[in-house]
Parts: sequence; C-alpha cells; structure tokens
Amino acid sequence: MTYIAKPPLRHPTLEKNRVGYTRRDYEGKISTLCAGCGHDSISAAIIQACWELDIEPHRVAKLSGIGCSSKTPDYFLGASHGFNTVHGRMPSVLTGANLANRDLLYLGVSGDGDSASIGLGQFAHAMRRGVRMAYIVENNGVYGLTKGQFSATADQGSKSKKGVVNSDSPVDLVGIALQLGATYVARGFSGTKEQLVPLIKGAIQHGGAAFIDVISPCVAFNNHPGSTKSYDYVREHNESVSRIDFIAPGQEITADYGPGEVVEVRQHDGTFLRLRRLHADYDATDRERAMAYVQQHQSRGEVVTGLLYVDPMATDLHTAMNTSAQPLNALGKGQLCPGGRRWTSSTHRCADRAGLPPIAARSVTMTERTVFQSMSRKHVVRVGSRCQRARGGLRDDQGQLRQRAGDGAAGPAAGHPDRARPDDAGGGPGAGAGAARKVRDVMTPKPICIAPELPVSDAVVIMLEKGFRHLPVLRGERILGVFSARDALPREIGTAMGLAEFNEQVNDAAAADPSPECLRRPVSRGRSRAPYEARAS
Amino acid sequence: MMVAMNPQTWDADVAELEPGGYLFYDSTRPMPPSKFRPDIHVIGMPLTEICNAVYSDPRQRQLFKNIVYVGALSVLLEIDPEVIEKLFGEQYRGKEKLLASNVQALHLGRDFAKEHLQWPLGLRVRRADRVGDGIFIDGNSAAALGCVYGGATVAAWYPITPSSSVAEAFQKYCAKFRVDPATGQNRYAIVQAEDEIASIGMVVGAGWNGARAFTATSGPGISLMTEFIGLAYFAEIPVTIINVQRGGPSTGMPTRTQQADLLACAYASHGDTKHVLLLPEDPHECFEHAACALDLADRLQTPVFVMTDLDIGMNQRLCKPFAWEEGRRLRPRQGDDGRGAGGRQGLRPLQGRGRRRHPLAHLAGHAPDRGSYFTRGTTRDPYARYSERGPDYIYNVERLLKQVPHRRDPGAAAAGQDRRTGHPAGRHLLRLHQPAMAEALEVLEPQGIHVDAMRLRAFPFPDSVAQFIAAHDQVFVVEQNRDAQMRSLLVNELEIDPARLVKVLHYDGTPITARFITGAITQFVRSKSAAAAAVAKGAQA
Repeated sequence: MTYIAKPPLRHPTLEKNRVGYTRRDYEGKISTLCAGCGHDSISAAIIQACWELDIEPHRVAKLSGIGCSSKTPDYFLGASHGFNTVHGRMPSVLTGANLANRDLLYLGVSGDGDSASIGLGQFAHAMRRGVRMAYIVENNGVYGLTKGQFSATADQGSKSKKGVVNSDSPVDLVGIALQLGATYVARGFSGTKEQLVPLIKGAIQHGGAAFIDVISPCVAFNNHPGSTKSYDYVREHNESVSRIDFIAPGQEITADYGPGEVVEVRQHDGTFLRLRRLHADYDATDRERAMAYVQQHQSRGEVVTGLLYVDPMATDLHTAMNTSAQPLNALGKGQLCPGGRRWTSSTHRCADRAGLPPIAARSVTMTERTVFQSMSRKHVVRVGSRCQRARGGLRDDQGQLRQRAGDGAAGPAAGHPDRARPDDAGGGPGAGAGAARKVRDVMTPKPICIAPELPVSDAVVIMLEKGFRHLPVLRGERILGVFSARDALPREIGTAMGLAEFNEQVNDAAAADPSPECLRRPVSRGRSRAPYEARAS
Repeated sequence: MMVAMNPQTWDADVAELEPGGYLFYDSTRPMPPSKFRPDIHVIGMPLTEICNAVYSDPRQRQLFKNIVYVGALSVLLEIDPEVIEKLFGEQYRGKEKLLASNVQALHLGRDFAKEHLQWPLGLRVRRADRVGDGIFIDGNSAAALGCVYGGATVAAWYPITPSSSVAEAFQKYCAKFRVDPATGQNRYAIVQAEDEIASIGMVVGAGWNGARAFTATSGPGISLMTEFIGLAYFAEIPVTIINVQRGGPSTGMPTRTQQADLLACAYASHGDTKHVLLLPEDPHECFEHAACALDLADRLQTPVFVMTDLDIGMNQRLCKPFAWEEGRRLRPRQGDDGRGAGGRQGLRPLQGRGRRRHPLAHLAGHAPDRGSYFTRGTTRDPYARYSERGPDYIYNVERLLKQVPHRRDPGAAAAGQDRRTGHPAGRHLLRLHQPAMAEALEVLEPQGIHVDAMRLRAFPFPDSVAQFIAAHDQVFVVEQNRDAQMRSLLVNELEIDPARLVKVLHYDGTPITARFITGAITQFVRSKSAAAAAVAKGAQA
C-alpha cells in the first residue's frame, strides 16, 4: 500500500464557492482503488455535492468501516475529519460522534459487506434511531479486498467471476431502511452522476437519518455477464422514479427539466427538493406506497433508482433526546460538574444571571444558531453589574447602550442606522458627544427588539425586510446585547434571503396590502417565535 | 441465626448453620426430626396458621408471613419496634393503607412471640452509633455519580446484570444535575444500544469527537467489546469502561460476585495491548475512580477500566462520604485548548510523552480548518498517514506503551496503601476488599502472625508495589478468581519469582470473608513451619 498525496499546485483561476473553497479543496488523496471502480465515481459525486452546497470541509466528519468502500473517505474531503473504524461498526461510532457534537455534518460511508453482513444490526439500529447523517452504501455485491466472495446483497442466481451461482436471497438495504423508519431513502448508480449528486446533496441537508444505496460495479470481480451489479446490467435495468434537484434558498435554478410533473418539497431548513416525477403513480412522501413500488419493480428485475422516500420535516435523535443546542463536547466544567461550580468569564457569569445558557464562544453551529449564540462577545453588553439598574429602568440602560454604540465600536446607533446619518453625528466621533442634540432626540423611541432565542436566520429576515443592520436583543426588560448583520454566517443570510423572498411572495398572494403582523412574522417557519416590540419607552 | 422460609433450600440452609446456632422456621406443617440437627437451637412458629387465621386474601396471607416473622424476631433479638416502624414509614411513604396493615402484621408477630416463645434469646441487635459521617450507598450509584462529576456527557450501554443500575443511576443523577434550567434541555445523552458492541462503538465515537463518554458492562460485555477496545487503544481514543464483574466465563454466575476479568481487561483485544485498570474497594472509591477514569482516559487518550464487582456495585455499604474539592480541575479536556473544528483535538503533542503529532497542531485552535486528520485503526506514520512500514509500526506501538501511565507518573492513581510496615521478614497481603482484609489483619495479629498489607488500586503497577514485594519474603495475593489473575499480572509485569507469591483464592461467588483469609494464611504458615521443622529434624538425623 502506498500513500500518494496530490500535488498542492493549483490553477489560480479555479472557481471558488460561496465559502471560498475551490473544488480541489474537497478532494482527498489519490485513490488506490482499481481503475474504473464505481466507488471513485461516488467519491467524485460527494466532492461535487459538498462543493456545490458551500460546506466548509472542516464542518464534515466522514466515518467508515472496513472494506473497499470504507477506504474511500481517504480519497475525498481531505480537509474533513475522518475515522476509519472497525468492520461493520461505523454506525455506532457515528452515533456517538453525533451525540458528542451535533454541529458537524456526518457522512457515513460503508459497503455491502460492512452494512448488509457483519454490520446489518448496527445499520438497522442507526436507521431506527434517526441519527442525523448521510449514510452512503457503496454496493457492489462482492468482497473486493478479499478477492471476490459474494456479499449479502448479491442477487439470487447471479454469477461470480469464477462462475459460481449465488443461491442465497439478497439483503435489500433500501427495503430495510424504509421499513425501519429512515426519513430519506434513495438509490443511485455510480454511473449516473447527474442523478447521484443531487441525491447526496439532499441527504446531507436532510434533518434525520438519510440513506443512499449506490450501486457501484466492481470492475475487478463483479462486472461480468451474469452479474446483476455490472455497469451493463444496471444501465439496462435502471428504472428511475424521479429526477431530483437540490435547491438551496436563493439559488438560481439552472437545472434543465424535461417534460413531466415537477413537485417541490420544502425541507425543515428552508431548502427545496425539486422532484420531477417520471412515474405519475409514484409519491416520494408516502412510505407504504414507496415500499410496495420498490418491491414490485424489484421482483421484475428492475433496479429502481432515485429518491424513493423523503419526510421533509424529519427530526433526529437529538430532538428525541432533548439534548442541549450547544454541542455536548463544548460544554464546560461549570455546566457538567455539579460541585465546584465556577464561572470563568464575565460573559458566562452575565449569561448565568440572565438565566440563559452560557454563550458558546467557539461553537459554530451548522444547525440553527440562536441570535444569542451568534453575537460576538464585544457586542454582548456586560450587564453583570448593571442588571439591578436595568431592573430599575430600561430607559437609562438603553441610553447607555446607545452611547456605547455611538462611541464607535458597534457602528451607528443600534438598531436603526437610518436615524444616525453622518450629518446627525455633527462631525464628532461620537453621536452623543459634541453636538448640542442629545441621543434621546435622535434615537428611535420604540425599537424593534428580538429575543435571544430567535434563530439567526429569522433575525436576518427582519433586517432584510426593514433594512436594518443591527437589532437590540432583549430578554424581558434586560438588554443582553446587539445583534449585528455581521454576526450572521453566509449560509444563514442565504436561508434568510430565501425566506424573505418566500414571505414576500406569500404576502403578495395573501393580500394587496400586507398587514404589519404578516411582515414581522416569517410565515413559512411555522413557529410562534416572533420578535417582539420593546415594551418600555 | 437462620430464618428458613424456603422449603427448596431447607437442607442447605440447615447445614449452613454454625453449631450452637439458632434456626427459626414456620412450624405450621410438622417437619420430620431427620430434617433438623442436634447441635442447633430450633425455634418454631406457626406463621402460616397465624396468617390464615387473620387474613382471608391468599395474597395477604402469603405476604404478611414475612412481616409477622420480622415482628417475632424483633422480640427474640430485642429490636426496638419503633425502628422497624420507621423503616416501614420510609418504605411505604405515600401508601398509608399499606403502612397500617404492615404495622399491624408486625405487632401480630410480636404479640405471638411474646406469649408463646422463649425470649430474649441472648442474641441481641443493639442500637449503635458507629456510623459517624459515613453514607449508605451502592457502588453502581456511586460510580454513576462519579461520572456526572467527572464530566461524562455521553453514556451508551446495554442492559446486563450487575451493571445496569450504573446507567440507570446516571440517568437519574443527570435528570437532577444536568438539565439546563433556562431551556430545559439535557446536557447529556444516554443511549441504550442494541448490544455491547454498539455501546462501546458509541463511546469510541463520542470520545473521538471530544466528549467524555463511558459505558458500563460486565464480563460478557467485555468479551464483545474487545475489538473496539483494541481500536481505541491503537487509534488513541479516550474511553471509560465500568466493568461490574460477575462470575464467569460465559454466562457464569450472573448474580454472584467475582473478580475474574482482570486479565481479560488488562490485555483486552488481539495484538499487543496493555490497559489502565482502576480497582476500587468500596462505593467511595467507585465514585472517585469513575471520575478519575474519565480524567485519565482524556489525558492519556486511551481506554481506562474501572474494575468494580457485583458485591461492591449492587450491595449498599457504609462508606466514607464523597468529597469534591471546590474548584477541583477536571484535567484539560481534549477540546478545551485548541479544539479542532470537530471539537476534537488536532494532533497535538502533549508534553513530549509520545503523543500524536501534527505539523499544524498549534494552529488547531485558531484555524479550525487546519486541525482535521484521518483517524484509523491501521498503522500510520507520525503525520497520521497510512503506512505499513516496519519502523512506523514500531514507532506506533512503542509510543503507546509510553502513553500508559508510567510507574513514576504521579497521576496514575495507582498508589498502593501501606499499612503497618516495619516487619521486613513479614508477609504482605495484596488486593481486595478492605473491610474483610482489615478484619483479617486484626484477627491475625494476636495469633502472632504479623503481616504488612498493601492494597492494589491500579494497573499498571506503580514502583511502590515492586518495592513492597521486594521487601518481603513471602507475599500472599488475595483475590477472587480461580486462576490467581492478579498474581499472574504481578509475575508478568514485575518479573517476580512466582514462588514468592502465595495464592489466596476465593471464587465461589460469595463475597470474601475475613474468616476465609485468616484461615488460608494460618494454614499456610502452620504447614510451612511444620515443613521447616521436618526439614530441621531430617538435618539432625
């Protein structure tokens, strides 16, 4: 075995995605698999999917078991966290890793020996539990590393390279996943990348357990006549139920659709799956019918591919277990150890008094962050000593806040930049200093404030709709800080833009004159966590 | 005194009595004289008859028999009935109806005994106040609480006697201490896995990702986990395993105690491995060792076992109260300084003690995108790249050997406890149950048998163990398994002449007693002095 790294040389004009990475940044080492192996095509599809989804490579953890398929994580996403575990036990390790840090995206890469034979139990239970992950089985029906024995997914009657006929019934991983409650089940073929890439993108963005069975011919041991996992056989018998395209919010739709009914499936995070039904009777959101359809066609010898089932509002194990939004591996001693409770930073102390979870300074979440989590520390008002005064009267406190903001650190007056025009500042460095006018005169009397628990993307929606760049964050009568547009991540802004657009459409459609209620509440979210107006002043 | 209520075990129960002992039984049905022994006192009481006369419900007749005899015993042994009533009150809090009927049954028994039986017996149960500040707790609850204090956030387990209550107690304590008061969200995750393989897999995954994680299991679980333990050892992943040992091999004696997993855990997995074992003596140490194990695993990046047993784990014991020093530091968690994006430490060199290295390690905290690498169970070079080169392999395994706490490591928690040293020619007791051992020492002393004692608290052994053995001619190794596994470890690791280590083995599944230890030692000393006398005689002749 050799270790071959790709040369670091890159073309300077390589296209970058929205998070600033080129496609090369998603590649791994040079594959040591056989030339023409289907697995390499799957690696390429994963690379393309991650690049197109604008996922930072270090936000991904890729885990695998043992086998040809399980070697592939070394050949893609070289800058991601990888763990090559033991044979058939990847699902449990992934479950544990996911429990420890819910913020990463988990990619489980496995093979048919790994998932259908030795690890069938773990595969089944990970699906049952709804561990949030994209579980990809690179299914070639054969043990490649040990030179060509049948695996448990080899079809009955199919022939090995040596001419031995397989007499055992195959394990149908798709059928099992459907039955056990996986909330995103698909089958792809390594030879049709245009179908596979959107399937992988959908799986990565899915909110629960996503499973893709990818038929991936083994050129060395299972690509001969008589095999049912060869390139030729699968091409001839491929029965695609749908064409899907994964659409991030605000993304321009470029996919070229032929004739056929197009269905849009909106997911929990605001993304869309656009499905073109190739069969009028196929409904990808109906589990029972999907199971029946797949079984019927399989018995006819057809290989059904495409997105077979999706529950767009799926939740995961963390939801079921009500684990903290802050990843468990980022919790500090004070949050874990009942004795010796000691807060180390003033921010934590402040947050504690305010009855809020301490701010995870380093934690960057891929799942939804709340406004409070996202605020940079310098914008968090240290109300530790000021809590009492804040209780006495909000107005004073707000005045202080404005002055602080006006001193320059946070830019123009918090919340309403339009009120603090440069000429208002009177040429002085501070809005409140120098000029005869007081801050009180120019401030917005009833600023729109937000709750710390509001998701960042919702806050950005408000900003987009109102044209603000800052919003004060209130808990009851206490000012906790100022949320700035700069605190939002690109993907959150992306989500928000999609939402704002969507809201606009909804509002346009709902009434000729949009009511203010409608404007303030992102209708599409189905949440009641609307921002609220400051009660005082 | 024996209260024989179970006809199936009558013969065994009667045989178990010491001569002069008391046998209390239900005399409703007459027993043939052959069923008794001449050398014991027999007290019969027609429990069934009494209950049948008072209660009409068959269930009550059966259940209250037990309470009636407790009442009778309280008379015979002069137990203050108020104490028993108070205990009833605790047991049936909130079920006042049951409380009243139980108290009634108690007095039914008392009244009958006072009238018909000869009392007091002379055996007495006295009120005493020797508890001091001691607390009553079982080792499994203590270990679970230790895990809460030690910062464990992920627990994965599979039910197995006698360890299940560790996970259940962890759940209970977490619900109390680990729920975020502001959001109501849990700062812990507990998964009941599909088997022990999955449970250790989840612990490995969580440990890999920077959370403190543990599993609790027993012998059969350890057997299933060994492949993963090897992975964790070789890939350097912190794992804490609480092994509540029971009788083995196979299903063995699931409800009996033994300490027979020492070798299986010390060298778990194929290939060359050597793991850290912590050996608690009581619930107090279960608490300490569980918290310590999480720390050690994190610091050494390797699996750590807490080797408790069924007797310590499931039986409530009086022990020292737990103390948690205010401001006690959990050893730096993997992620606290320089956490990679995954919350996982990059390949950070740790004090040059043979840790993983990565050229960009120092960046891990500042540049999250530079901290990732590929963890694997295969050999790798110092830069975490796949390799099957001989020198790379040797570099790996030699480094792992250094990683396990060295004998001089102050953090090894492996300090032996010296007791009454100063008998250079004396003998040395090793390992095990402190209460039984302490009692044995007290019994041996007046018999003129002087022994120094040391209790082993961890494996690999610290230097003090080797020094202690070197200072004594004969060393008794007291343990609860057939094959003298601890002795094997001592011989193997410290290269001690096996002839100097005398086995004292107790492995019938019951907890070891002071009587057994003193018996075994006295017998050995006598036979040895007899043999020495014979040799002397032979020499004279």
